[in-house]
Amino acid sequence: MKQLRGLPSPEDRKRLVWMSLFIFTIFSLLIIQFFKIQIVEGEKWTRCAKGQHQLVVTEPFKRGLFYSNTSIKVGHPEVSQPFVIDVPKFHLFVDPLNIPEECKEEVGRQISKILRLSKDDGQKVQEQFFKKSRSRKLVMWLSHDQKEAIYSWWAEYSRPKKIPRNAIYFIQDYQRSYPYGKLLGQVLHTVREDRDVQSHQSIPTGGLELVFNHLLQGKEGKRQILRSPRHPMETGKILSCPEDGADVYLTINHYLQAIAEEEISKAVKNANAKGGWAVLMDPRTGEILALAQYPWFDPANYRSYFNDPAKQENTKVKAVTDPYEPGSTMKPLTIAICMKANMELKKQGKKPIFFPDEKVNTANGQFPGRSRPIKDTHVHHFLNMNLALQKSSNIYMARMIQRVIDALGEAWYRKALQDVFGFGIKSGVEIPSESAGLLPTPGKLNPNGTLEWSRPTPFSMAFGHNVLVNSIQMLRSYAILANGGYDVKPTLVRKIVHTERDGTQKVLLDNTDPQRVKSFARLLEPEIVRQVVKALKPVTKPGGTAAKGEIYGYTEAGKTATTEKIVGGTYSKKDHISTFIGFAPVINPRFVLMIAIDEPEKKYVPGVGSMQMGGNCAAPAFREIGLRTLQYLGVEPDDPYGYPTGDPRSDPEKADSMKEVKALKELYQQWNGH
Amino acid sequence: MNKGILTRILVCIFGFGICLYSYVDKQNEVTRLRLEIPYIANQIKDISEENTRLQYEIDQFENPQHLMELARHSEYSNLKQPFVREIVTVQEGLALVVPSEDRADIGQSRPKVTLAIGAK
Repeated sequence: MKQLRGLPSPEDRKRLVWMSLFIFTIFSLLIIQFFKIQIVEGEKWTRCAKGQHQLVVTEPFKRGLFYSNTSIKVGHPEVSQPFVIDVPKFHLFVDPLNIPEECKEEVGRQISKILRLSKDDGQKVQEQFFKKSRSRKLVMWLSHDQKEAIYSWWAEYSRPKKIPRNAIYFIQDYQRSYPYGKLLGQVLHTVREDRDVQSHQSIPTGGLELVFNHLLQGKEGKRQILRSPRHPMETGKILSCPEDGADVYLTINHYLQAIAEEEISKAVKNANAKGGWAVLMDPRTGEILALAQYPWFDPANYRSYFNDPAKQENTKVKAVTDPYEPGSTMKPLTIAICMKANMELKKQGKKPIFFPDEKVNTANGQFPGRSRPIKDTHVHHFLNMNLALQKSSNIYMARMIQRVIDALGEAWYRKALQDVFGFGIKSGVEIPSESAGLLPTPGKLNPNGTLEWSRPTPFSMAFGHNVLVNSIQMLRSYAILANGGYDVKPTLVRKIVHTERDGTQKVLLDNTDPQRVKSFARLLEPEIVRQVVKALKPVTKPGGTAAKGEIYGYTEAGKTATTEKIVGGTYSKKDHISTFIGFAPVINPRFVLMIAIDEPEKKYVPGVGSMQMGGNCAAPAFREIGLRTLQYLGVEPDDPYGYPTGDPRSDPEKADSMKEVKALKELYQQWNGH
Repeated sequence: MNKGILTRILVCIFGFGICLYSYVDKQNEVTRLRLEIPYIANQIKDISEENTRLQYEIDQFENPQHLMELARHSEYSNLKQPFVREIVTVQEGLALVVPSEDRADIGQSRPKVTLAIGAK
């Protein structure tokens, strides 16, 4: 058969079929491979491609800051004054594998020279260049100028030697920096130089940094960038924005804090004491305006404190963590409880346990259950309430509590101490490791097997023995007397504010709300407060135990105490803790202030007295801090004639409480004959 | 007729060319601005960080302990903390509101006091 012209021959057709099959197979394989790459292993290759072309970098956040309370200065602009600032700093890194062996020593030497490192530090830097690693940290926390100095030298050095420029690089970080140095160190604390490896969050060392760590912490942002010289690091797609931490606005005023720190250091040095602290608080709101402690804790050098066991003690806020026996500062509280007992008995239709003007026999210190009699520093035959507080009589207080227990029982007395003055209960101030103190419980045993509350315990508690309190609890108790009998909750925080990236502010905590103060319940009746405060006023006048605590030109009320410290389970005759707690002015007080001097030197100065007594070592600091605080707050003198003899403004006839003091003196001489 | 079509096509091509050119030009402008962003962002960041650093140095100088030291110098002995009643708070912008003829009266009626200007 003749083959048609133009049609392929059977061989050609056969070849064409094979060719088509071959191409089809190839395409099929190609499609299968595409299917495998795109569908089956799609995620893997996408990840791989992204890894090659894209890079996710983290965006740093700023940790929240602490701000001073500038609102207390009336008529002055309320400016934001930070106690701590996050200053941008740089960490220097090296990629040792990118630097030729022959250059390593010289580069290390030059860096040490630019940064003026010591021989030891320079040696440590040198060692890093010889590690088999792509990234070694050389030096931390360099300033912008130091960074520029290294960069400009490196640019000149690396170019002719053809060393990759990124063999030395910097990573930016924010360093917690303290413009006021050690001011408020123990309260603020700091964060460690290293960070948490997983979260990159700062690690607080204690204080407010630790308490509010969860709010101060921010969140790192993420940004996706292309690995291309045309795409600088700053551009790229933002995956998540960094979130800065919340800011904490404190109740502490930086100026009052500086005054308190200056005066407490003077008082400690004058008394040749181990240490001391001062706490200044608004008696109505409970806002702590200053909390100073000497010896200092400098947050910028935190390592030196934690590495030295002798200095570790300076890192804690002793006013909160260390309980002590309040001693004589307990006496006004005892009187308040006795007067409350009077009111309770009146409600029950019974006769009162005592009258403030009653002549009480204080010569005999024998009490049931006590092997040894209670003693006063001087023998007083007869005293009334005002004289007892002025002369700080232990026997009078114990006698009154004996009457309370006889009339209302031990449980009522204990409950009053707990419910009114919050003894045995943490004050809730925002400092870690607060001690609740110890209010003995009837029937409960001490670790040594003895009873916490035995028969003579309440008599000792009446003058501040056998009970442990922290300084904030005592300050709160006096604030209740100062504010007219209302409850008060000590706090270090005014508000906590989180600022969003668009500038909107979200208040997370607001202690400035007037409703907070309005919610404080009345704990003591106004008449009780009036009587106790009146009895406290002569304490700082001639004849009182703390005449050196008088704030000239202003009225004040307060009480001093000198207690023996418990060392090894027994009272030490050598180591004391001397305190003064008071408030000023008496009407509408602006502050309540506690001064504590820890282990003042025990010595007797003729004409002055025992220097370890609270009236001699703590009261003068109260006067100085009190006076400077009132001046700073712009409070006008309310006792214009209350100045020392010799001062032209002095007039003992017109000065506050001097008539009462004179009357007390006469009454004392009449009852006691001296 | 062919000439008319050719003219119209040329006009269209010309118009399209202008549009294309302006589009490309705009794209170039956008690219140029995009390239400037990182530099400007860097500058803003640097200025902001410099501000923080300077604020830190100012605060170091204005440390209350340092100010108290300065206040003890004899040349500042005339300075004192004002009492609250001596402080007159003037609202921001008040001076602009008060007519000039009334300003003399304000000066006469006010006691000689320390002013805290700008307080709210």
